[in-house]
Amino acid sequence: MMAGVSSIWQEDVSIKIMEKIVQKISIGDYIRMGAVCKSWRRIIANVKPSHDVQVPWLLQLKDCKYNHDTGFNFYSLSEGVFYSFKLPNHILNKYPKAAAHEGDTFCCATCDGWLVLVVGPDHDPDMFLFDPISEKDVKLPSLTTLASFPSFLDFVNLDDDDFKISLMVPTVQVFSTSDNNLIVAAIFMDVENEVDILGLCNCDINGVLEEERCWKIFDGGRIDGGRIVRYESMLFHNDALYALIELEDNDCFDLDKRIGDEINRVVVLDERTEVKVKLINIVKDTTAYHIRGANYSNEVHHISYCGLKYVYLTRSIKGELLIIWNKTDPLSKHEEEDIYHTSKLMIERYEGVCKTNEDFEPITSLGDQAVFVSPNSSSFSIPATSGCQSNCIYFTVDMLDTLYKKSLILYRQSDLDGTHISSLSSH
Amino acid sequence: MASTTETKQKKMLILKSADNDEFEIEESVGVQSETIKNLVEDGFTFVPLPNVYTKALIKIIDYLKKHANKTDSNDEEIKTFDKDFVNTTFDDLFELVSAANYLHISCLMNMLCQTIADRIKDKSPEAVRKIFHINCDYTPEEEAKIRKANAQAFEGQFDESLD
Repeated sequence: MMAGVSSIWQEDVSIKIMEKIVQKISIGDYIRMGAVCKSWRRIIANVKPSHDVQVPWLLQLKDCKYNHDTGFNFYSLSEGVFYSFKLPNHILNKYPKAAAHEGDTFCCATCDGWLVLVVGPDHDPDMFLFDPISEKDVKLPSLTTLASFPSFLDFVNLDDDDFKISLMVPTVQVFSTSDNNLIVAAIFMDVENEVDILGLCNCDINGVLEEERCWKIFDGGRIDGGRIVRYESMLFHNDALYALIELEDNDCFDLDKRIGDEINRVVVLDERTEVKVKLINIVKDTTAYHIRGANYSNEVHHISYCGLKYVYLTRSIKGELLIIWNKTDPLSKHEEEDIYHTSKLMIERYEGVCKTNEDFEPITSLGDQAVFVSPNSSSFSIPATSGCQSNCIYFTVDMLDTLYKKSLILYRQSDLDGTHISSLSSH
Repeated sequence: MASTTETKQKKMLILKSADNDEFEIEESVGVQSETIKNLVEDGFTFVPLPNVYTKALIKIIDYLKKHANKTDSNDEEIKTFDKDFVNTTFDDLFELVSAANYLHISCLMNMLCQTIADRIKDKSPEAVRKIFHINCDYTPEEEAKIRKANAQAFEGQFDESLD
Protein backbone atom coordinates (compact mmCIF):
# COMPACT_ATOMS: atom_id res chain seq x y z
CA MET A 1 0.00 0.00 0.00
CA MET A 2 0.98 3.59 -0.38
CA ALA A 3 2.70 5.37 2.47
CA GLY A 4 0.65 6.83 5.35
CA VAL A 5 -2.79 8.05 4.45
CA SER A 6 -2.12 11.42 6.01
CA SER A 7 0.37 12.27 3.32
CA ILE A 8 -2.03 11.03 0.64
CA TRP A 9 -4.77 13.51 1.50
CA GLN A 10 -2.19 16.19 2.03
CA GLU A 11 0.03 15.68 -0.98
CA ASP A 12 -1.33 13.17 -3.44
CA VAL A 13 -4.93 14.23 -3.73
CA SER A 14 -5.61 14.85 -7.37
CA ILE A 15 -6.88 18.12 -8.68
CA LYS A 16 -9.81 16.38 -10.34
CA ILE A 17 -11.02 14.95 -7.05
CA MET A 18 -10.63 18.29 -5.27
CA GLU A 19 -12.47 20.03 -8.09
CA LYS A 20 -15.45 17.71 -7.68
CA ILE A 21 -15.49 18.23 -3.93
CA VAL A 22 -15.16 21.99 -4.19
CA GLN A 23 -18.15 22.15 -6.53
CA LYS A 24 -20.30 20.74 -3.78
CA ILE A 25 -19.44 23.02 -0.89
CA SER A 26 -20.27 26.56 0.08
CA ILE A 27 -17.91 29.44 -0.38
CA GLY A 28 -17.25 29.61 3.37
CA ASP A 29 -16.19 25.97 3.34
CA TYR A 30 -14.00 26.75 0.34
CA ILE A 31 -12.19 29.53 2.16
CA ARG A 32 -11.72 27.38 5.26
CA MET A 33 -10.33 24.56 3.11
CA GLY A 34 -7.61 26.94 1.98
CA ALA A 35 -6.61 27.39 5.63
CA VAL A 36 -6.16 23.66 6.22
CA CYS A 37 -2.68 23.32 4.69
CA LYS A 38 -0.48 24.76 1.98
CA SER A 39 -1.04 22.00 -0.55
CA TRP A 40 -4.82 22.30 -0.30
CA ARG A 41 -4.56 26.03 -0.74
CA ARG A 42 -2.41 25.51 -3.82
CA ILE A 43 -4.77 22.94 -5.33
CA ILE A 44 -8.03 24.72 -4.71
CA ALA A 45 -6.67 27.99 -6.10
CA ASN A 46 -6.99 26.24 -9.46
CA VAL A 47 -10.53 25.05 -8.99
CA LYS A 48 -13.33 27.52 -8.84
CA PRO A 49 -16.51 26.88 -6.94
CA SER A 50 -18.10 29.90 -8.54
CA HIS A 51 -18.17 28.34 -11.98
CA ASP A 52 -20.63 25.86 -10.74
CA VAL A 53 -23.47 28.07 -9.70
CA GLN A 54 -25.06 25.79 -7.15
CA VAL A 55 -24.42 28.42 -4.55
CA PRO A 56 -24.95 31.89 -5.99
CA TRP A 57 -23.28 34.99 -4.73
CA LEU A 58 -24.46 38.50 -5.29
CA LEU A 59 -21.89 41.21 -5.72
CA GLN A 60 -22.61 44.36 -3.79
CA LEU A 61 -20.88 47.45 -5.09
CA LYS A 62 -21.77 51.06 -4.61
CA ASP A 63 -22.00 52.72 -8.03
CA CYS A 64 -20.16 49.72 -9.50
CA LYS A 65 -17.05 51.10 -7.85
CA TYR A 66 -14.42 49.12 -5.97
CA ASN A 67 -13.66 50.42 -2.52
CA HIS A 68 -10.02 50.04 -1.56
CA ASP A 69 -10.84 49.92 2.14
CA THR A 70 -13.60 47.36 2.11
CA GLY A 71 -12.92 45.41 -1.07
CA PHE A 72 -15.51 43.55 -3.08
CA ASN A 73 -18.51 42.57 -1.02
CA PHE A 74 -20.32 39.41 -1.89
CA TYR A 75 -23.53 38.14 -0.40
CA SER A 76 -23.85 34.40 -0.21
CA LEU A 77 -27.50 33.55 -0.65
CA SER A 78 -27.22 30.09 0.83
CA GLU A 79 -25.39 31.19 3.95
CA GLY A 80 -26.90 34.65 4.34
CA VAL A 81 -23.55 36.25 5.02
CA PHE A 82 -21.23 38.70 3.29
CA TYR A 83 -17.72 37.94 2.15
CA SER A 84 -15.26 40.54 1.07
CA PHE A 85 -12.18 40.26 -1.09
CA LYS A 86 -9.55 42.81 -1.83
CA LEU A 87 -7.51 43.08 -4.98
CA PRO A 88 -4.38 41.06 -4.18
CA ASN A 89 -0.89 42.50 -4.53
CA HIS A 90 0.00 40.57 -7.66
CA ILE A 91 -2.97 42.18 -9.41
CA LEU A 92 -2.06 45.67 -8.17
CA ASN A 93 1.49 45.08 -9.41
CA LYS A 94 0.35 43.87 -12.81
CA TYR A 95 -2.27 46.59 -13.21
CA PRO A 96 -0.78 49.59 -11.42
CA LYS A 97 -3.72 51.68 -12.65
CA ALA A 98 -5.88 49.76 -10.20
CA ALA A 99 -4.04 51.33 -7.27
CA ALA A 100 -6.06 53.76 -5.18
CA HIS A 101 -4.35 56.93 -6.34
CA GLU A 102 -4.63 56.16 -10.08
CA GLY A 103 -8.35 56.63 -10.52
CA ASP A 104 -11.33 54.43 -9.92
CA THR A 105 -11.73 50.70 -10.32
CA PHE A 106 -15.07 49.73 -11.76
CA CYS A 107 -16.76 46.41 -12.15
CA CYS A 108 -18.89 46.88 -15.24
CA ALA A 109 -20.15 43.34 -15.76
CA THR A 110 -19.83 39.79 -14.46
CA CYS A 111 -19.95 36.38 -16.07
CA ASP A 112 -19.59 32.96 -14.47
CA GLY A 113 -17.60 34.20 -11.52
CA TRP A 114 -15.43 36.55 -13.57
CA LEU A 115 -15.59 40.22 -12.74
CA VAL A 116 -14.95 42.55 -15.67
CA LEU A 117 -12.85 45.36 -14.26
CA VAL A 118 -12.08 48.69 -15.86
CA VAL A 119 -9.35 50.55 -14.00
CA GLY A 120 -7.47 53.80 -14.27
CA PRO A 121 -8.06 57.20 -15.81
CA ASP A 122 -10.93 57.65 -18.25
CA HIS A 123 -8.70 58.45 -21.22
CA ASP A 124 -6.53 55.35 -20.90
CA PRO A 125 -8.12 52.63 -18.80
CA ASP A 126 -6.98 49.02 -18.48
CA MET A 127 -9.51 46.25 -18.65
CA PHE A 128 -9.23 42.71 -17.35
CA LEU A 129 -11.17 39.77 -16.01
CA PHE A 130 -10.62 38.94 -12.38
CA ASP A 131 -11.78 35.99 -10.35
CA PRO A 132 -11.76 37.03 -6.69
CA ILE A 133 -11.70 33.44 -5.48
CA SER A 134 -8.82 31.95 -7.41
CA GLU A 135 -7.29 35.45 -7.77
CA LYS A 136 -6.63 34.78 -11.44
CA ASP A 137 -6.79 37.48 -14.04
CA VAL A 138 -7.13 37.64 -17.82
CA LYS A 139 -5.89 40.80 -19.46
CA LEU A 140 -8.20 42.21 -22.12
CA PRO A 141 -7.25 44.50 -25.00
CA SER A 142 -7.62 48.17 -24.16
CA LEU A 143 -10.84 50.03 -24.80
CA THR A 144 -8.73 52.70 -26.50
CA THR A 145 -8.21 50.32 -29.42
CA LEU A 146 -11.89 50.62 -30.31
CA ALA A 147 -12.94 53.09 -33.01
CA SER A 148 -15.88 54.17 -30.87
CA PHE A 149 -13.68 55.02 -27.87
CA PRO A 150 -12.94 58.72 -28.62
CA SER A 151 -16.59 59.66 -28.96
CA PHE A 152 -17.44 57.82 -25.77
CA LEU A 153 -14.63 59.62 -23.97
CA ASP A 154 -16.01 62.97 -25.16
CA PHE A 155 -19.32 61.90 -23.82
CA VAL A 156 -17.85 61.00 -20.45
CA ASN A 157 -16.00 64.29 -20.28
CA LEU A 158 -19.16 66.26 -21.00
CA ASP A 159 -20.87 64.78 -18.02
CA ASP A 160 -19.32 65.67 -14.69
CA ASP A 161 -19.50 62.72 -12.42
CA ASP A 162 -22.27 60.35 -13.23
CA PHE A 163 -21.00 58.95 -16.46
CA LYS A 164 -18.02 56.67 -16.33
CA ILE A 165 -15.90 55.11 -19.03
CA SER A 166 -16.75 51.69 -17.62
CA LEU A 167 -20.35 52.15 -18.80
CA MET A 168 -19.05 51.65 -22.31
CA VAL A 169 -19.11 47.91 -21.58
CA PRO A 170 -22.60 46.95 -20.41
CA THR A 171 -22.28 43.20 -20.67
CA VAL A 172 -19.81 40.41 -21.31
CA GLN A 173 -19.84 36.68 -21.97
CA VAL A 174 -16.84 34.50 -21.15
CA PHE A 175 -16.76 31.04 -22.69
CA SER A 176 -14.61 28.38 -24.32
CA THR A 177 -15.07 26.74 -27.70
CA SER A 178 -12.33 24.20 -27.04
CA ASP A 179 -10.33 22.94 -24.09
CA ASN A 180 -7.59 25.47 -24.37
CA ASN A 181 -9.20 28.73 -25.28
CA LEU A 182 -11.06 31.40 -23.41
CA ILE A 183 -13.14 33.76 -25.47
CA VAL A 184 -14.56 37.03 -24.25
CA ALA A 185 -17.51 38.56 -26.08
CA ALA A 186 -18.30 42.11 -25.01
CA ILE A 187 -20.94 44.61 -25.97
CA PHE A 188 -19.60 48.12 -26.39
CA MET A 189 -21.67 51.26 -26.71
CA ASP A 190 -21.02 53.45 -29.70
CA VAL A 191 -22.62 56.75 -28.70
CA GLU A 192 -21.76 58.54 -31.92
CA ASN A 193 -23.79 56.17 -34.06
CA GLU A 194 -26.17 55.20 -31.26
CA VAL A 195 -25.58 51.50 -31.74
CA ASP A 196 -24.19 48.60 -29.77
CA ILE A 197 -21.08 46.87 -31.03
CA LEU A 198 -20.15 43.26 -30.39
CA GLY A 199 -16.44 42.62 -29.96
CA LEU A 200 -14.76 39.24 -29.47
CA CYS A 201 -11.31 38.39 -28.22
CA ASN A 202 -9.54 35.07 -27.95
CA CYS A 203 -7.67 35.11 -24.66
CA ASP A 204 -6.11 31.74 -25.31
CA ILE A 205 -4.28 31.53 -22.03
CA ASN A 206 -1.55 29.26 -23.34
CA GLY A 207 -1.14 30.72 -26.80
CA VAL A 208 -1.62 34.34 -27.76
CA LEU A 209 0.52 36.80 -25.85
CA GLU A 210 -1.40 39.22 -23.68
CA GLU A 211 -0.11 42.17 -25.69
CA GLU A 212 -1.27 40.63 -28.95
CA ARG A 213 -4.87 40.14 -27.92
CA CYS A 214 -7.25 42.34 -29.84
CA TRP A 215 -10.96 43.00 -30.18
CA LYS A 216 -12.45 41.56 -33.33
CA ILE A 217 -15.53 43.60 -34.15
CA PHE A 218 -18.44 41.52 -35.32
CA ASP A 219 -20.22 42.86 -38.36
CA GLY A 220 -23.67 41.37 -38.58
CA GLY A 221 -24.22 42.96 -41.98
CA ARG A 222 -27.71 43.86 -43.11
CA ILE A 223 -30.48 41.69 -41.76
CA ASP A 224 -33.91 42.07 -43.32
CA GLY A 225 -32.64 45.34 -44.71
CA GLY A 226 -31.51 46.73 -41.37
CA ARG A 227 -28.39 46.86 -39.26
CA ILE A 228 -28.14 45.72 -35.66
CA VAL A 229 -28.61 48.64 -33.31
CA ARG A 230 -29.03 46.90 -29.99
CA TYR A 231 -27.89 43.70 -28.32
CA GLU A 232 -30.47 43.09 -25.63
CA SER A 233 -28.99 39.98 -24.08
CA MET A 234 -26.52 37.29 -24.99
CA LEU A 235 -25.69 33.83 -23.78
CA PHE A 236 -23.22 31.17 -24.82
CA HIS A 237 -25.19 27.96 -25.18
CA ASN A 238 -24.60 24.67 -27.02
CA ASP A 239 -21.37 25.85 -28.63
CA ALA A 240 -22.87 29.05 -30.01
CA LEU A 241 -23.19 32.63 -28.87
CA TYR A 242 -26.90 33.48 -28.88
CA ALA A 243 -27.82 37.15 -28.96
CA LEU A 244 -31.18 38.87 -28.84
CA ILE A 245 -30.92 41.79 -31.23
CA GLU A 246 -32.91 44.74 -32.35
CA LEU A 247 -32.61 46.09 -35.88
CA GLU A 248 -32.34 49.72 -36.87
CA ASP A 249 -35.61 49.87 -38.66
CA ASN A 250 -38.24 47.72 -37.15
CA ASP A 251 -40.89 49.11 -39.50
CA CYS A 252 -39.83 46.66 -42.14
CA PHE A 253 -40.22 43.90 -39.63
CA ASP A 254 -43.66 42.38 -39.49
CA LEU A 255 -45.21 43.84 -36.36
CA ASP A 256 -47.08 40.69 -35.54
CA LYS A 257 -43.79 38.96 -35.20
CA ARG A 258 -42.35 38.71 -31.76
CA ILE A 259 -39.31 36.62 -32.58
CA GLY A 260 -37.72 36.60 -36.01
CA ASP A 261 -35.83 33.82 -37.76
CA GLU A 262 -32.57 32.67 -36.27
CA ILE A 263 -29.71 34.19 -38.23
CA ASN A 264 -26.45 32.24 -38.26
CA ARG A 265 -23.05 33.85 -38.54
CA VAL A 266 -19.51 32.68 -37.91
CA VAL A 267 -16.77 34.91 -36.55
CA VAL A 268 -13.23 33.78 -37.33
CA LEU A 269 -10.90 34.93 -34.59
CA ASP A 270 -7.76 33.19 -35.80
CA GLU A 271 -6.87 30.14 -37.83
CA ARG A 272 -7.82 27.77 -35.03
CA THR A 273 -10.70 29.64 -33.46
CA GLU A 274 -14.10 30.49 -34.74
CA VAL A 275 -17.28 31.36 -32.92
CA LYS A 276 -20.77 30.52 -34.09
CA VAL A 277 -23.14 33.41 -33.53
CA LYS A 278 -26.89 32.97 -33.57
CA LEU A 279 -28.80 36.22 -33.81
CA ILE A 280 -32.42 36.38 -32.80
CA ASN A 281 -34.32 39.43 -33.93
CA ILE A 282 -36.91 40.37 -31.36
CA VAL A 283 -39.63 42.96 -31.29
CA LYS A 284 -40.45 44.49 -27.95
CA ASP A 285 -43.64 46.20 -29.04
CA THR A 286 -43.20 49.38 -27.03
CA THR A 287 -39.66 49.30 -28.18
CA ALA A 288 -37.52 51.32 -25.90
CA TYR A 289 -33.83 51.71 -25.54
CA HIS A 290 -32.52 49.55 -22.86
CA ILE A 291 -32.36 51.38 -19.60
CA ARG A 292 -28.61 50.96 -19.46
CA GLY A 293 -29.08 53.79 -21.62
CA ALA A 294 -26.31 55.56 -23.34
CA ASN A 295 -27.14 59.14 -24.07
CA TYR A 296 -30.46 58.63 -23.34
CA SER A 297 -31.06 60.44 -20.14
CA ASN A 298 -33.88 62.40 -21.76
CA GLU A 299 -35.31 59.43 -23.46
CA VAL A 300 -35.40 57.32 -20.35
CA HIS A 301 -37.94 59.69 -18.94
CA HIS A 302 -39.94 59.74 -22.11
CA ILE A 303 -39.84 56.01 -22.48
CA SER A 304 -40.89 55.42 -18.93
CA TYR A 305 -44.36 56.59 -19.83
CA CYS A 306 -44.89 53.83 -22.29
CA GLY A 307 -43.49 51.16 -20.04
CA LEU A 308 -40.04 49.75 -20.36
CA LYS A 309 -39.37 46.29 -21.49
CA TYR A 310 -36.34 44.30 -20.57
CA VAL A 311 -35.60 41.11 -22.39
CA TYR A 312 -33.27 38.48 -21.08
CA LEU A 313 -31.91 35.29 -22.51
CA THR A 314 -31.30 32.53 -20.04
CA ARG A 315 -30.98 28.78 -19.73
CA SER A 316 -33.11 26.58 -17.52
CA ILE A 317 -31.58 23.90 -15.32
CA LYS A 318 -32.68 21.39 -17.93
CA GLY A 319 -30.68 23.25 -20.57
CA GLU A 320 -33.56 24.88 -22.49
CA LEU A 321 -33.12 28.43 -23.74
CA LEU A 322 -35.63 30.80 -22.26
CA ILE A 323 -36.51 34.35 -23.18
CA ILE A 324 -37.81 36.44 -20.32
CA TRP A 325 -39.87 39.52 -21.13
CA ASN A 326 -40.14 41.90 -18.26
CA LYS A 327 -42.43 44.84 -18.77
CA THR A 328 -42.56 47.59 -16.22
CA ASP A 329 -45.58 49.64 -15.41
CA PRO A 330 -44.94 53.37 -15.76
CA LEU A 331 -47.63 54.20 -13.25
CA SER A 332 -46.28 51.98 -10.52
CA LYS A 333 -43.41 54.23 -9.59
CA HIS A 334 -42.14 53.57 -6.13
CA GLU A 335 -42.80 56.55 -3.91
CA GLU A 336 -39.28 57.41 -2.97
CA GLU A 337 -37.23 55.39 -5.39
CA ASP A 338 -37.19 55.62 -9.12
CA ILE A 339 -38.21 52.06 -9.50
CA TYR A 340 -40.95 50.84 -11.71
CA HIS A 341 -42.65 47.69 -10.67
CA THR A 342 -42.85 44.88 -13.11
CA SER A 343 -46.35 44.86 -14.53
CA LYS A 344 -46.06 41.86 -16.74
CA LEU A 345 -43.61 39.04 -16.82
CA MET A 346 -43.54 36.44 -19.52
CA ILE A 347 -41.25 33.52 -20.03
CA GLU A 348 -41.03 31.88 -23.36
CA ARG A 349 -39.16 28.80 -24.46
CA TYR A 350 -36.92 29.64 -27.38
CA GLU A 351 -37.29 26.95 -30.00
CA GLY A 352 -35.21 28.32 -32.85
CA VAL A 353 -38.21 29.31 -34.98
CA CYS A 354 -39.84 32.64 -35.61
CA LYS A 355 -42.98 33.38 -33.67
CA THR A 356 -45.81 35.83 -33.91
CA ASN A 357 -47.78 37.23 -31.04
CA GLU A 358 -50.42 34.62 -31.73
CA ASP A 359 -48.03 31.69 -31.42
CA PHE A 360 -46.76 33.02 -28.19
CA GLU A 361 -47.16 30.49 -25.45
CA PRO A 362 -45.75 31.61 -22.17
CA ILE A 363 -44.46 29.11 -19.64
CA THR A 364 -46.66 29.24 -16.58
CA SER A 365 -44.23 27.82 -14.06
CA LEU A 366 -40.49 27.51 -13.71
CA GLY A 367 -40.96 24.56 -11.42
CA ASP A 368 -38.33 23.80 -8.85
CA GLN A 369 -35.75 26.28 -10.02
CA ALA A 370 -34.72 29.87 -9.53
CA VAL A 371 -33.50 31.97 -12.44
CA PHE A 372 -31.15 34.92 -12.02
CA VAL A 373 -31.06 37.62 -14.67
CA SER A 374 -29.44 41.02 -14.88
CA PRO A 375 -28.70 43.62 -17.54
CA ASN A 376 -24.99 43.37 -16.82
CA SER A 377 -24.35 39.86 -15.61
CA SER A 378 -24.73 36.56 -17.36
CA SER A 379 -27.90 34.78 -16.39
CA PHE A 380 -28.08 31.38 -14.76
CA SER A 381 -30.56 28.96 -13.25
CA ILE A 382 -30.16 26.83 -10.17
CA PRO A 383 -32.24 24.22 -8.40
CA ALA A 384 -34.13 26.11 -5.74
CA THR A 385 -32.51 24.60 -2.70
CA SER A 386 -30.01 26.84 -1.03
CA GLY A 387 -31.42 30.14 0.09
CA CYS A 388 -33.65 30.93 -2.85
CA GLN A 389 -37.27 30.33 -3.75
CA SER A 390 -38.49 27.93 -6.37
CA ASN A 391 -40.46 29.18 -9.39
CA CYS A 392 -38.79 32.50 -9.00
CA ILE A 393 -36.91 34.95 -11.17
CA TYR A 394 -34.35 37.09 -9.37
CA PHE A 395 -33.67 40.35 -11.13
CA THR A 396 -30.38 41.68 -9.96
CA VAL A 397 -29.46 45.14 -11.02
CA ASP A 398 -25.83 46.05 -11.28
CA MET A 399 -25.59 49.41 -12.97
CA LEU A 400 -27.20 51.37 -10.27
CA ASP A 401 -26.32 54.83 -11.36
CA THR A 402 -28.15 54.34 -14.60
CA LEU A 403 -31.18 53.27 -12.65
CA TYR A 404 -30.90 56.13 -10.18
CA LYS A 405 -31.31 53.88 -7.22
CA LYS A 406 -30.31 55.21 -3.90
CA SER A 407 -30.51 52.63 -1.21
CA LEU A 408 -30.48 48.97 -0.47
CA ILE A 409 -33.66 47.51 -1.77
CA LEU A 410 -34.99 44.05 -1.47
CA TYR A 411 -38.49 43.58 -2.65
CA ARG A 412 -40.68 40.79 -3.72
CA GLN A 413 -43.95 40.86 -5.52
CA SER A 414 -46.28 38.43 -7.17
CA ASP A 415 -47.16 38.62 -10.79
CA LEU A 416 -50.74 38.41 -11.95
CA ASP A 417 -50.47 34.82 -13.03
CA GLY A 418 -48.73 33.75 -9.88
CA THR A 419 -45.14 33.57 -11.03
CA HIS A 420 -43.04 35.03 -8.28
CA ILE A 421 -40.85 37.91 -9.09
CA SER A 422 -38.07 38.96 -6.88
CA SER A 423 -35.85 41.86 -7.33
CA LEU A 424 -32.77 42.09 -5.24
CA SER A 425 -30.66 45.09 -5.71
CA SER A 426 -28.10 46.66 -3.56
CA HIS A 427 -25.64 49.41 -3.60
CA MET B 1 -31.40 -19.05 -14.10
CA ALA B 2 -30.59 -18.50 -17.76
CA SER B 3 -33.71 -17.26 -19.43
CA THR B 4 -32.26 -16.60 -22.84
CA THR B 5 -29.57 -18.29 -24.85
CA GLU B 6 -27.45 -15.15 -24.72
CA THR B 7 -26.75 -15.46 -21.04
CA LYS B 8 -24.85 -18.69 -21.62
CA GLN B 9 -22.20 -16.79 -23.52
CA LYS B 10 -21.72 -13.85 -21.23
CA LYS B 11 -18.45 -12.16 -22.01
CA MET B 12 -16.17 -12.12 -19.02
CA LEU B 13 -13.30 -9.86 -18.05
CA ILE B 14 -10.48 -10.32 -15.62
CA LEU B 15 -9.45 -7.35 -13.50
CA LYS B 16 -6.09 -7.46 -11.77
CA SER B 17 -5.53 -5.27 -8.73
CA ALA B 18 -2.32 -3.52 -7.71
CA ASP B 19 -1.76 -6.35 -5.18
CA ASN B 20 -1.95 -8.87 -8.05
CA ASP B 21 -5.33 -10.32 -7.08
CA GLU B 22 -7.50 -11.25 -10.04
CA PHE B 23 -11.26 -10.86 -10.26
CA GLU B 24 -13.55 -12.19 -12.95
CA ILE B 25 -16.56 -10.06 -13.79
CA GLU B 26 -19.07 -9.78 -16.60
CA GLU B 27 -18.13 -7.38 -19.33
CA SER B 28 -21.50 -5.62 -19.03
CA VAL B 29 -20.70 -4.90 -15.38
CA GLY B 30 -17.17 -3.69 -16.08
CA VAL B 31 -17.97 -1.27 -18.86
CA GLN B 32 -19.70 1.10 -16.45
CA SER B 33 -16.11 2.23 -15.98
CA GLU B 34 -15.02 4.38 -18.93
CA THR B 35 -11.43 3.21 -18.48
CA ILE B 36 -12.42 -0.46 -18.69
CA LYS B 37 -14.84 0.27 -21.54
CA ASN B 38 -12.07 1.80 -23.64
CA LEU B 39 -9.85 -1.21 -23.05
CA VAL B 40 -12.67 -3.62 -23.90
CA GLU B 41 -13.33 -1.73 -27.11
CA ASP B 42 -9.68 -2.23 -27.97
CA GLY B 43 -10.16 -5.98 -27.52
CA PHE B 44 -8.73 -6.49 -24.03
CA THR B 45 -10.27 -9.10 -21.72
CA PHE B 46 -7.49 -8.93 -19.13
CA VAL B 47 -7.37 -5.56 -17.42
CA PRO B 48 -4.48 -4.73 -15.09
CA LEU B 49 -5.32 -1.90 -12.69
CA PRO B 50 -1.98 -0.82 -11.19
CA ASN B 51 -3.58 2.08 -9.30
CA VAL B 52 -6.38 0.15 -7.60
CA TYR B 53 -5.74 -1.98 -4.54
CA THR B 54 -7.66 -5.16 -3.78
CA LYS B 55 -9.56 -3.74 -0.83
CA ALA B 56 -11.01 -0.88 -2.89
CA LEU B 57 -11.50 -3.04 -5.96
CA ILE B 58 -13.69 -5.54 -4.08
CA LYS B 59 -15.96 -2.72 -2.95
CA ILE B 60 -16.04 -1.17 -6.40
CA ILE B 61 -16.93 -4.46 -8.09
CA ASP B 62 -19.76 -4.79 -5.56
CA TYR B 63 -20.93 -1.35 -6.52
CA LEU B 64 -20.74 -2.02 -10.25
CA LYS B 65 -22.65 -5.30 -9.92
CA LYS B 66 -25.38 -3.64 -7.92
CA HIS B 67 -25.72 -0.76 -10.34
CA ALA B 68 -25.56 -2.98 -13.43
CA ASN B 69 -28.79 -4.61 -12.31
CA LYS B 70 -30.65 -1.37 -11.85
CA THR B 71 -34.37 -1.61 -12.56
CA ASP B 72 -37.33 0.47 -11.54
CA SER B 73 -38.24 -1.95 -8.79
CA ASN B 74 -34.94 -2.11 -6.90
CA ASP B 75 -34.46 1.64 -6.69
CA GLU B 76 -34.87 1.68 -2.92
CA GLU B 77 -32.54 -1.27 -2.51
CA ILE B 78 -29.80 0.52 -4.45
CA LYS B 79 -30.28 3.67 -2.41
CA THR B 80 -29.76 1.67 0.78
CA PHE B 81 -26.75 -0.03 -0.74
CA ASP B 82 -25.22 3.34 -1.71
CA LYS B 83 -25.81 4.70 1.77
CA ASP B 84 -23.96 1.78 3.35
CA PHE B 85 -21.28 1.99 0.70
CA VAL B 86 -20.18 5.51 1.65
CA ASN B 87 -20.57 4.94 5.37
CA THR B 88 -16.89 4.24 5.88
CA THR B 89 -13.66 5.84 7.07
CA PHE B 90 -11.86 8.69 5.36
CA ASP B 91 -8.94 6.41 4.59
CA ASP B 92 -11.26 4.11 2.70
CA LEU B 93 -13.01 7.01 1.02
CA PHE B 94 -9.68 8.23 -0.26
CA GLU B 95 -8.85 4.85 -1.78
CA LEU B 96 -12.33 4.61 -3.28
CA VAL B 97 -12.44 8.08 -4.72
CA SER B 98 -8.96 7.69 -6.21
CA ALA B 99 -10.01 4.39 -7.77
CA ALA B 100 -13.30 5.81 -9.06
CA ASN B 101 -11.38 8.71 -10.57
CA TYR B 102 -8.86 6.36 -12.22
CA LEU B 103 -11.60 4.05 -13.48
CA HIS B 104 -13.78 6.95 -14.65
CA ILE B 105 -17.00 5.83 -13.00
CA SER B 106 -18.75 9.16 -12.89
CA CYS B 107 -21.82 8.27 -10.80
CA LEU B 108 -19.61 6.69 -8.13
CA MET B 109 -17.19 9.61 -8.25
CA ASN B 110 -20.08 12.00 -7.80
CA MET B 111 -21.48 10.10 -4.86
CA LEU B 112 -18.12 9.84 -3.10
CA CYS B 113 -17.26 13.50 -3.61
CA GLN B 114 -20.68 14.49 -2.30
CA THR B 115 -20.05 12.36 0.78
CA ILE B 116 -16.67 13.96 1.39
CA ALA B 117 -18.08 17.45 0.75
CA ASP B 118 -20.91 16.80 3.21
CA ARG B 119 -18.37 15.90 5.86
CA ILE B 120 -16.29 19.01 5.24
CA LYS B 121 -19.32 21.29 5.36
CA ASP B 122 -19.43 23.76 8.24
CA LYS B 123 -16.31 22.29 9.82
CA SER B 124 -13.45 24.35 11.18
CA PRO B 125 -10.02 23.94 9.52
CA GLU B 126 -8.82 22.22 12.73
CA ALA B 127 -11.54 19.59 12.52
CA VAL B 128 -10.85 19.05 8.80
CA ARG B 129 -7.16 18.54 9.55
CA LYS B 130 -7.94 15.91 12.18
CA ILE B 131 -10.40 14.14 9.92
CA PHE B 132 -7.97 13.95 7.02
CA HIS B 133 -4.85 13.41 9.19
CA ILE B 134 -3.32 16.54 7.75
CA ASN B 135 -0.42 18.28 9.43
CA CYS B 136 -0.80 22.02 9.45
CA ASP B 137 2.23 23.37 7.62
CA TYR B 138 1.37 27.04 8.07
CA THR B 139 3.30 29.08 10.57
CA PRO B 140 0.99 30.70 13.14
CA GLU B 141 1.67 34.05 11.43
CA GLU B 142 0.68 32.70 8.01
CA GLU B 143 -2.46 31.16 9.37
CA ALA B 144 -3.43 34.35 11.15
CA LYS B 145 -2.98 36.25 7.89
CA ILE B 146 -5.26 33.89 5.97
CA ARG B 147 -7.89 34.12 8.64
CA LYS B 148 -7.70 37.87 8.70
CA ALA B 149 -8.05 38.17 4.92
CA ASN B 150 -11.44 36.50 5.00
CA ALA B 151 -12.40 36.93 8.58
CA GLN B 152 -16.10 36.31 7.92
CA ALA B 153 -15.45 32.73 6.94
CA PHE B 154 -13.91 32.02 10.33
CA GLU B 155 -16.52 33.64 12.50
CA GLY B 156 -19.35 31.84 14.20
CA GLN B 157 -19.84 28.30 15.37
CA PHE B 158 -18.39 25.35 13.54
CA ASP B 159 -18.99 21.69 13.62
CA GLU B 160 -15.99 20.27 15.46
CA SER B 161 -17.09 16.65 15.30
CA LEU B 162 -14.82 14.20 13.55
CA ASP B 163 -17.25 12.10 11.58
